[in-house]
Amino acid sequence: MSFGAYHGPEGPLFAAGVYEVGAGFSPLDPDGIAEDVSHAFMRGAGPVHPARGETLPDVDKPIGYSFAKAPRLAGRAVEVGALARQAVDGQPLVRALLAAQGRSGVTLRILARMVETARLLLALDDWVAALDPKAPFCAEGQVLADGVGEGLVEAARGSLGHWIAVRGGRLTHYQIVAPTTWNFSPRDLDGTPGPLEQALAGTVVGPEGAKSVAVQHVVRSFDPCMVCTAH
Amino acid sequence: MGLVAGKWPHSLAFQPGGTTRTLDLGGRMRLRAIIRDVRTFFEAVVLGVDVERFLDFQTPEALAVYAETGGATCRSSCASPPTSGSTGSVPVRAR
Repeated sequence: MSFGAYHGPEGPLFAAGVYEVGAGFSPLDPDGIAEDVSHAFMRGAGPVHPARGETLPDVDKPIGYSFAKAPRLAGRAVEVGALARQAVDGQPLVRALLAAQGRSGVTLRILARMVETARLLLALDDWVAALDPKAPFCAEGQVLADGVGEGLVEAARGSLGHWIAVRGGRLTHYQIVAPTTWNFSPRDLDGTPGPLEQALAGTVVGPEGAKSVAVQHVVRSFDPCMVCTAH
Repeated sequence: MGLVAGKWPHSLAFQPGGTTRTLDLGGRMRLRAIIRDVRTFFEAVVLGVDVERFLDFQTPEALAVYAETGGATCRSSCASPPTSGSTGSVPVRAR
């Protein structure tokens, strides 16, 4: 999944949407986002959209095993990050390798970061050339007295969403779904694991077990930030 | 990033709708120099070919040839040939 990145007058440099091997590209529907807390150290009922979500820690929950909630898009676990961005945008090499391998993987995640860096270096040249020193450096916005807001961007690690509500000039609601929350989400109510758990299944670890460097390769290929994940 | 928005990844100085300060001509020159340095490093140390050439690899076969040869013989055997503006393995761009 990608929320779309580097927006300009002609749209984003990297498109928003969802890409699935076999099914192909589909447009992004943010209303389909819901967070499940069935296996998180959190209280709450059922999958709920972040505009209505809560963060109520429950460290003694018997089946809890993660401080991350389990965000799902239309009920499904999705991977975010450079690989997802390039696949959604239709980058030819990334699409071809995904088709050949049938799924994402460690090498593809690393390669997608190289592809993205290469593409960004070209774009950066154009952006600096387009800078006008006389233009205003910031667009002044108006602060809402009452209302709701949804901010969807691509951070370096993947899709990042903020959902707010304001009443009488004060925040009454604030929920964040960070990239690593998507990738490292625990199981949901149906028992479906998040992208990291799916990627780890079948990893050959040898006699070292969980200490195997193969586990580290898989975990680190997602470029995780656990500090940003629990809310 | 420091020139326009403070530290990465938590660029607290970013403002919605813009940057924290205007950039003068000197700032623009510095940004260009930084981008050129990053590109030189990326092409010389990471890729071994220039950015345009790397992005021309569009098939698993082309990538495999590049991985085996560092791109040295790729020009003749790639499924998609490099663009004419490619500067080979020399990571320098005159600007």
